[in-house]
Amino acid sequence: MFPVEIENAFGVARVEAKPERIVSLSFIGHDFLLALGIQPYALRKWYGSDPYGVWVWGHDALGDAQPIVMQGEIDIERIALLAPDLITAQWSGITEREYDLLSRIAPTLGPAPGYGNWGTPWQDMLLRLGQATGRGEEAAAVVRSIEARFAEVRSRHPEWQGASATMSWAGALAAYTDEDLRGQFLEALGFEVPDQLSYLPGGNAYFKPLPVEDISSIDLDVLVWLDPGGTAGGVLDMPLRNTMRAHREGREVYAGPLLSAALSHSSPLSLEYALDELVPLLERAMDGDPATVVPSMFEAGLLPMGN
Amino acid sequence: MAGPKPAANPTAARLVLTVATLFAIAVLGLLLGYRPIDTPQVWVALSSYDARNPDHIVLAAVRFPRVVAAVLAGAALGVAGTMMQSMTRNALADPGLLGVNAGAALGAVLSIAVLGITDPGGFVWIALGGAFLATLLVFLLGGGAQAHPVRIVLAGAAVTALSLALIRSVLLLSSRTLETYRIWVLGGFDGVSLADIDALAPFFMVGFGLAALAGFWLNAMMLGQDVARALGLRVGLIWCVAGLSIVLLCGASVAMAGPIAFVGLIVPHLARRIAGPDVVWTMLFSACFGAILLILSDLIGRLAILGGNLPAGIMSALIGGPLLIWFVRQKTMVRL
Repeated sequence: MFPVEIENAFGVARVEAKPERIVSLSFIGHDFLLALGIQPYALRKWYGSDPYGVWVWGHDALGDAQPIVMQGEIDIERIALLAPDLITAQWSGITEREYDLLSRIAPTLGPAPGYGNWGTPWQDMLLRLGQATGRGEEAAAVVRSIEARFAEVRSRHPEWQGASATMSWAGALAAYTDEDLRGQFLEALGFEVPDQLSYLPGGNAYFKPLPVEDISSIDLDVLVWLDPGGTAGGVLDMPLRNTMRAHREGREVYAGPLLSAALSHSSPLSLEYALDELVPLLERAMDGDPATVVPSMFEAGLLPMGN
Repeated sequence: MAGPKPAANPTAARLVLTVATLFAIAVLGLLLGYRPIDTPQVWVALSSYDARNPDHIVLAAVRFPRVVAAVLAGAALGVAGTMMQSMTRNALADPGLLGVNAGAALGAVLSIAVLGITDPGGFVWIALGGAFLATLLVFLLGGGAQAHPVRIVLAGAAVTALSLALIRSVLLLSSRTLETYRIWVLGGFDGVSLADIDALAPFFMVGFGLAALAGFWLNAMMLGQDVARALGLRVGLIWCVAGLSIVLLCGASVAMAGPIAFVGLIVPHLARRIAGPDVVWTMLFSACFGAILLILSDLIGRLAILGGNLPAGIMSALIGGPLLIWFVRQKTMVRL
């Protein structure tokens, strides 16, 4: 199986032997390693209260392991001291210069060519990781099983196919495009994230701030409000919310901090959790009856009182 | 600009003209924005408001509160800047010298870091409290009722430096706080609602009232503190009234819209050119110019060509900077 060569956006990583000491720099990459049964030697914590930055869906796979935790900017010197035999950095935002420096420390798995820093689909990230760690078959099996789950949900919901949808921030007004993992999640369920979002000025390819005076670009069949901070206030303060179809017809879904984190990770571990939680909410929203209450919207206090 | 002192009437006429311009620009602030709205719709929205019409909602819930907030904050910062420059007799004095902005910023940062508030609307009162505490500290360090302008300014610089150091240490430790703070610190009217304005209106009103009182006294004090004493004016009292007015006006605007750069510094100079050395007239013009500058800053930031999301705090500095340079190059500055 080894050596393997894997092409990156910034070069080619050549892994000579099965890696034992993996430093994970991707904000969500530790989930992917854990899904393959690998405990990273060191990982980069994204956010949340867990001391190792591993959310609830990863706790079983992490077990008693106590990985070294890094947070914030990439510290090349510290990584060199960790003496890794593989550095994984697919969803890490590394620059070409950082890639070059990291590659001198150990073979570095950067983002896949052609998707940018944050756009590589989770399947590709997992398969590439499988290749680099000698667990290609396990990776393929995990991909097959999760894709089968998506396919099963799609087949149960013909009415979702082609319906327009987006995931938006409940705080500052902004939405994710179909190039982002969160947009890809909706498209995997058969929804359509409109291309029109990508043409909005400002932001980047994945995330677009919306002008407060014109939110027609998220006036869609379904709206998922992501609320990582758990404040939800921004949604109520949106002056034009009442003009949106999804609001008037009861097709808004609220994703609280944990579900938002699961969607934002979109890892093989968190996707299962996200499907468990989000699919029933989407079913309530899309049942064709505006009167059906989406429980998470009610619990977050985002439904109009007595209407 | 030498020659005989201008009579009050030409100045009054200019003020009427300035107020008319302010109204025209306020109307412009309602008419223009990211969303194209036909002019007649404004009248329709006024006469028969339709809560389902997006144009009407944008006019009533986005543009109107923003224009009102820009008028209040602009006028407040202009008036406070005038008082500050007159009190310290320093052309570079800015309301920020009293530590108001630094105190409010520290309040904001602690709200985000300690209380986990991510919506700037949620820490209005803590920011205001921070502004009050910082100013109080500046006055006490500056000598209280016996305060001397130079000591006050030095105390303000010290408190500001201390607050900034604390802010930076918190930001260094908490990137989540930085995320919210970096937007707030630019200053702007995003998300300002009529409810916020209502809640802060009393602070503005009392602040403006005290400013008018202080203005008459400051006119006398412009002759120097010793002369003022001879005229029977208690310098300490004037300082307290003017200081309270400044902290009310600046505290309320920083709580509402974040620390907006430059308005308090630049506007009084422009006003003094037209009003002459009289503090009360300068305040009136400063109020109008400050309001005009902030409506324009907000309006330009909202336009579609710039993406519709540029904070007024950036625009006011982008407009105010060149204005200040042009100003410095004029030979006829009115001396303080």
